[in-house]
Amino acid sequence: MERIKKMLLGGIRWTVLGLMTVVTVYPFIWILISSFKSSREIFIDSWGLPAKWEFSNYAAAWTLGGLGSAFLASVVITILSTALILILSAMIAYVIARVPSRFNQALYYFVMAGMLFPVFMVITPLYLTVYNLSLAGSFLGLGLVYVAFSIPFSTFVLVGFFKTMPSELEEAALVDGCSMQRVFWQIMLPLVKPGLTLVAVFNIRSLWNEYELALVLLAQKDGVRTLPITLANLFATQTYRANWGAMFAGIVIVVLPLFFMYAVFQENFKAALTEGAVKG
Amino acid sequence: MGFFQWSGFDSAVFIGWDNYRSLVNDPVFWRSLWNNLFLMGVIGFFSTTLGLYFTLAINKLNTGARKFFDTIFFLPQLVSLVVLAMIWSFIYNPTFGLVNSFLRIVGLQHRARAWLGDPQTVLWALVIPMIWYYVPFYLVLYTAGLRNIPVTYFEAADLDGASGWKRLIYITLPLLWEHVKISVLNMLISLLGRGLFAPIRLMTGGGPDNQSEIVVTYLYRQAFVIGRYGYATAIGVAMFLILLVLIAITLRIMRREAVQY
Repeated sequence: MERIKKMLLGGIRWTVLGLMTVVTVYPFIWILISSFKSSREIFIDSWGLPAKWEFSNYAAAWTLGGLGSAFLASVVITILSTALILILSAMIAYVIARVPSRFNQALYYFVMAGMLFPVFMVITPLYLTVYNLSLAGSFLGLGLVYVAFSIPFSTFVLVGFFKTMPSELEEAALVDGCSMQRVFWQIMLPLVKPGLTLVAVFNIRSLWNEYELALVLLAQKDGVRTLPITLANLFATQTYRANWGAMFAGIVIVVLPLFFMYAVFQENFKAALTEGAVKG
Repeated sequence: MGFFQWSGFDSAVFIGWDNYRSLVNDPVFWRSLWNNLFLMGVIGFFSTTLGLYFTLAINKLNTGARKFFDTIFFLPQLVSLVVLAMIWSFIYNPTFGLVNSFLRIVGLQHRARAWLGDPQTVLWALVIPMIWYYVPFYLVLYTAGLRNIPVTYFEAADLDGASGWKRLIYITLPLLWEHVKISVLNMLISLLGRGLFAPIRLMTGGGPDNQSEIVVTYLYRQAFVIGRYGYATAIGVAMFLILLVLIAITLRIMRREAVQY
């Protein structure tokens, strides 16, 4: 009796897990397969394989509505912002974690306060501020806002990492006449490399996918669009045109870089997500 | 700024509490708040329970299978909300979408419909993609929590002959409580904030007839489509206050003594 019950429960578990696998994976496979179909085929047969694999969909997607140039813009803005975030928050975190001063506690809370505000609460005043600085509709304005919004959380994570490092190393280096700058760049920064990777993965994922701030701050200006904005625009207008295959190919182009990154940094992705849950 | 009438580019006019007064009397705002709460409740309930179920189910498997499912189930978290919205709009597409063509294959074509265009189904149709997106998130979160629980606890329970349910209620849940709490708070913050913005803006545009409007899409429309910046800011402030109240209520309900381990 006990054995039958166990087998039954195991059977149910495997069925549910199998179902979940199909539900999780099939949409991706469907998008991938459809990206090789002609528009006509997409309409006639949703489930089958393409009769003729249309690789030209990818070439079409790359030029369609400036997806290619938006791809490059997104690469540049994601990398530059992440680099700036890493440098600035590592510096702030180091000071907060390691330099004894009574301003530090206040500084810590000041930086952390930045995590409190939901983007949408401040988005209207933020837009008007950026507009008045003549930075609306420019990548520079968007990048600076990205950096500002990401520093609190990145600093929060890095403070944690700096605090766990043994202080003997620093003290020894300082006694040997090493300057504060060198201690930071050559001793401490390499030590918190796991923390930096975590922060980098977290920010790359969220900035590459970011939509709301780009939508508002880039103000739909021609030629100044990130990938998510371009894709959303295409989607909104494509409904009335006909190149569905290219549309699916566009999705593949956007998703692929993160899939590759995930293949390499799987554990970092998950750790970044767990840490990020605290912030929301 | 909530106290001003401001179209953004001319000078602002101070109007005191007027924006907040119109907000209280704005039926579309209440509609969007109600939709928002409904979506939060349903999505939150299903994603947290399913997330917990899959965490425990995967945890029972051997290492190889566990690695496999852990890797596969994470995939939806890699796509952006924009891509999520596009994928699921295609799945719901009345002509070539998977849902309707599946219904036709199994002979239920009379059930086929424009899922996102029908006021009867639109909210539920929005729930499913979000669950698809959030279950992996909770899976990762709970798995991280489960890894912190010492195995000895479960071994002791086994020795005492505790059943599966008892183990869940007396050991696993209390020890995972902090993670569950974080996940619920996180759910509130993201579903009232940016978590639903792109999906709703792209999949339904708040329609049909405001049936799927939520607070942030309404805020966006007021500010950046109509140009009522002062009013939009008032919505933002109201949203923040509602969020604080919801967080306070949640913390109150979920408060229990911390379990040491």
